[in-house]
Amino acid sequence: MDGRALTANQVVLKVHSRCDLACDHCYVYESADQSWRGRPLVISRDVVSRSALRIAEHVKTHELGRVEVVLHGGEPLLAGVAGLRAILVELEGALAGLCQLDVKVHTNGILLSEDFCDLFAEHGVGVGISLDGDKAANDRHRRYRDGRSSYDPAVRAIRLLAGDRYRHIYSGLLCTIDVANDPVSVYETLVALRPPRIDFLLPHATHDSPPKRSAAAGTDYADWLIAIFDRWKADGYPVRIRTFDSITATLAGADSSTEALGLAPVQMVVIETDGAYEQADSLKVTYDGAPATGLDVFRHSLDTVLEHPGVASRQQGIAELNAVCRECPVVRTCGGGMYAHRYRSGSGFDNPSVFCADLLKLITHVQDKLPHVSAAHAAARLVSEQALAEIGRGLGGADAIEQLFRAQQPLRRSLIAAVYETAMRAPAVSSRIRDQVHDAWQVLAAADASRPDVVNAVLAHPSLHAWSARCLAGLRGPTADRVNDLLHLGAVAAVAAIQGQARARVMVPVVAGALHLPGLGRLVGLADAELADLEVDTDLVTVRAGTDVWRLPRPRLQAGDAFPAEPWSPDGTPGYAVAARWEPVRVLTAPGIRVAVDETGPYRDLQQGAAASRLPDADFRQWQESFALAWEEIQEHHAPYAPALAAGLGTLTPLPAVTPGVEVSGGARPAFGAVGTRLPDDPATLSLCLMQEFQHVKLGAILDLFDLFDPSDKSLYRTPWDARPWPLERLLRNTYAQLAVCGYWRNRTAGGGDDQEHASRRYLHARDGIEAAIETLAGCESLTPLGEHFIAQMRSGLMAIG
Amino acid sequence: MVTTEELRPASTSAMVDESGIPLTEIAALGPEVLWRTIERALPGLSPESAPAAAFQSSI
Repeated sequence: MDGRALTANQVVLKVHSRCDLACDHCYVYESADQSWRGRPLVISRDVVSRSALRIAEHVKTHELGRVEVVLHGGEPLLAGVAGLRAILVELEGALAGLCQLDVKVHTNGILLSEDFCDLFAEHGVGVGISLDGDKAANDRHRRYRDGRSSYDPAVRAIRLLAGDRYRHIYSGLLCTIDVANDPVSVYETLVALRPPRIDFLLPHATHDSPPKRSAAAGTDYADWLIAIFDRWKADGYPVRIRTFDSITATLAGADSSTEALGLAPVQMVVIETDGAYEQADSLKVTYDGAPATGLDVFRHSLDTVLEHPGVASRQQGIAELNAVCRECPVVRTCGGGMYAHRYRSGSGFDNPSVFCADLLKLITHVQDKLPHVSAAHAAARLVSEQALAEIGRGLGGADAIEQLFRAQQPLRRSLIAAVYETAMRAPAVSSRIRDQVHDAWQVLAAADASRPDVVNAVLAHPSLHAWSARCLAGLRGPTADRVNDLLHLGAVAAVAAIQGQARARVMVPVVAGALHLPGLGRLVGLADAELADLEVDTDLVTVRAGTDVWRLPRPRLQAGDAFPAEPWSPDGTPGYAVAARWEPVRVLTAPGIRVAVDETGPYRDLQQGAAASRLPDADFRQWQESFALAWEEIQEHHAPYAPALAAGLGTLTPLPAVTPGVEVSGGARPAFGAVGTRLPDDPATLSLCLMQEFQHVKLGAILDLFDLFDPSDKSLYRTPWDARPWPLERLLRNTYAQLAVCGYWRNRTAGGGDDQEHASRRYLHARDGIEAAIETLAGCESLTPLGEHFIAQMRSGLMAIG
Repeated sequence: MVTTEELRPASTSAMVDESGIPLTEIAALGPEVLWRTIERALPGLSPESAPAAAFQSSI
């Protein structure tokens, strides 16, 4: 138990209690529990209505943001299109405006038709289908009552889902293991059906009814799954496999995604066709009546179900396990195995799983093959206590900033991997975009294999974090928008290939007539194209958009030159492509510092609010002059801030002036190394903007790594800078940024000159504000111990300013 | 001296350090592990898939 409130966020709704197949391994009909015999065939409208109300009641009580309902049976499609539609409408009506409702249906696929698929697509219902492998494997158990094979109709249904029309509702395949089947053949059959996910399920068994094995002490099930794991790894992980994902998740400290593994509390409740609440279906294999609770939707809430002794006993994590399990080195991954599999007459569930030896062998194998998963080297450990203290005081030298940079690397590698991994599974992504994203990923992965240093440098671009967040947010749900943003991965991969001297070919999006390569620049003049084919070779980068072709010398791209793009034709004759021009990323320079100007990148506005368009040359020269003077001011009057800025400020995004004379600047959380600002009227103000906004950069990187406060705190806090209260993070960020403002004005008061009185007033104003804000922050109950420590360092930093 | 390790909440102590691991292997970690690593950097964005453990069904 980790203190989480007990909730049921998954409800299995039995909509039909009979099946059109007669699989001999089915736990519903062939197990000890025979309660199905007394159930109504079909769930009644009354039960559906009461179930929906119970779920809504539970969602309201616990303020759940999401609940999952699984339509199940028997065979749920026997309820018919109209019957299922009525159920979906009832559920959606009860939960509208309360929380996100995710509905899935688990079916044998026999009846799946376009009518069913249209219904599921209309309501966003994910469809999982059971298939045990190739025809011979599947026919071993999954037959009609008269003995006929169910393989062909099941595969027909899966192919219907795997096509472009319904792929977005295809949630995966479920395969019950029979060790008599060849594991690799089963794996190959299932992968060929292009599921987004596969579940390999251990057959339900107990110590009273043990699974079949070649020898009593054998580990047939581990060996079977290990053969698949090794092949899956060798194949480059072409599909998510929930069994293995759950093992890696628990090894890394996250929760399992299957009830068969892990120590997470049970959060699932079954509602039968008569409205009776039951515990997990798997208990049907233990003894007659085992899943029963004696509770029902008419008289009892879901909270009452969670208090049932049978359910409550499965909320205790490691404490509920027997002594052997509690001492086991893999207990946090195994979790004692599936509850039903521990059963033995006499001792009940107080036993290791009947698959104990298999689970130990399999988990150990995965651990050995993926040692980095359990290495548990948090990125946060890349930042020393000294660096954290320096940064907490509002400063931090070059070394502290370098540590933040290093800690960003694993985060950014994980972000882009998450974008790729999510895109490969997301229902909203068409096969065309998926293929292009896959190709881009292959280019990036190849570059990473040969030049990981180059890939780290490419991924360090400030826009990568904001772009990743945008993609991940956009990939939610079946109607997610912005999937075209995914194609920017092609641009990232292209830059990795160019900088890493690799050959590659990748599709890159064209935005408003320009092809953008982050960190390098853009090719302008591709007015009509949406995508460009970019081929990276030893000396040349060839760009094809429609019928136009240009060749760009790679060394000139890397050198930062501006030049007209050379039209080219495949037969060697002079090309007739429209005029295009390469515009490199421009750089502001001053002694000891170089800052790239992101004035065209398509994702620069996600970091800083509305960004300005590319600066005219005269304006850029003005920026350069002002920047050089601002840097001189920082070095001369605010020297303690200079090393961090020199080490960490890599990008500046020009912002348009909203109101003349009003300074506009910002440093965004998902843009490490970048600040945005308009060009102030005087260089001294630019130096203040840079110092202030770089505070946001530092604190943003800290918040990426450490929990300084409880993120679930939605309270608003009094602030000295606004009549309206602010969320905690905003108050913390602004207070931290004000430390640099205070330091700036304090230094100006010491510098003498005409504006000393003005500087003194500004200094005192900033100081008073920070003092008040720090008191508010220090009194906040949501701070973690590390947050309290950080606030104490901020107070210390304020005292040091004077 | 209070160490960062001591002060980190227990629930966040196990992450993966991918800095030396190929991108392909990182992607293979699966959504649960990846999310655990990046969730702090994506405030306001909740895990996209299956908070509930999938029950073992074999229709």
